[in-house]
Amino acid sequence: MKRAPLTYRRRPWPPQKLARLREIEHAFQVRAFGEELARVNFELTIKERHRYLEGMRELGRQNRRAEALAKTNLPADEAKKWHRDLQDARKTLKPPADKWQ
Amino acid sequence: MNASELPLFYERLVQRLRERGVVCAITSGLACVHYGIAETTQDCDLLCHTRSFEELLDLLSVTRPEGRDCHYRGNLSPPLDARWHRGGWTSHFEWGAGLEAVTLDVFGHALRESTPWEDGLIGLYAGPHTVAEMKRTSRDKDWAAVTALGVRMIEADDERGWLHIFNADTLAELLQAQACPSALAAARPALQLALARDPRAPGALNAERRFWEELDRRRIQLLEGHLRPYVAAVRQARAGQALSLREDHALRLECAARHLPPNPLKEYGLQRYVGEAKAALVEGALIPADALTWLPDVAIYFEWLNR
Repeated sequence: MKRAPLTYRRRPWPPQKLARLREIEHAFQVRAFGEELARVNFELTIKERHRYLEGMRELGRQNRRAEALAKTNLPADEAKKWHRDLQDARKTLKPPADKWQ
Repeated sequence: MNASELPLFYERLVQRLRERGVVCAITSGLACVHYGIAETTQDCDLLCHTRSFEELLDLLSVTRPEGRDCHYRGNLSPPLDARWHRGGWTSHFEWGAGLEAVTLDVFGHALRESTPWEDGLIGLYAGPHTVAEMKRTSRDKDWAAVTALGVRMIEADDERGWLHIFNADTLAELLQAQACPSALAAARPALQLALARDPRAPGALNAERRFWEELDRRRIQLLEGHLRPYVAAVRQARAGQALSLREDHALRLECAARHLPPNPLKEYGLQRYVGEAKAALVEGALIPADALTWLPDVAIYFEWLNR
């Protein structure tokens, strides 16, 4: 399931109207959250969305660690290890395909 | 526990509570993710009926993910007790500590609920109307989620969605695509202006948002003022003791009885609270004085404090 339904009733809208309402919703999400997050919201399942968000949090943690490390005088080999960890973390964060293009 | 396993953990918690006859639901950020509005939240906000707090405490006491016990988070959390939750206090728990902690915030009432939250549940989650009302906070990031929920509600033929649209462009687009019921427009001046294609509509939407932000800021300030002596008392009473959840709960009840007014907003005066928020907006030049007429009557959002 991509997005939990907000109603158990069948929508009364004709397909064209529903499509227009969805278009408005998508346009708002792109303006408010950006294209990538709008895709996360529209294209991914709930489980995938949680996994994506965890990836974002992990990337945030890695970046904070990198910022903290930049202020320290690490030996070169240690710094290389940290840099590799950071790159690995970035690789695991894959945005969904852009089906709106 | 892996963070992507957390939603399942919380859903299982709600299921177990429901098996015991407890009316409860997940709300806030996790509900937003569930409804298709991604937020990087890890905390779980749980709505739980105040008459079921004993069952909730029982379950929290025996729920031990990865062998970790549940405990109140820090000294700041008020006790999980109906007397305080009916007045808008919330309780905060965690399993483990620090960055790895699994956290749970419990609400007996949905803040700013205009109708009882129990009436609008969808599965294990609070309904979008409740979630959107709870998100009218002083945090910038919440407002995009409010509008996104509102649009989805309109799309799902839930008219109350019109009350949650705070983006002027989106509101104009929606009004072209779909008729807004006059009863809802009557409750929201900004909506009336948008319906009349009045160029002041975006300003009215902004004024309404600033109003909610100011109300939330003042509510927090008011609660924090009362929390200071309570926190000091809890800290002193707990000093050096390893307490079980139940022991800690008993201690907090004692401290709350001495230091926490059960219903601080009501005690302060709801009219005074709302009036001061309006005055602060004008004094701070956040909205012009004539914009006060664009603000909705917010009394229904605080009526639950009088029940």
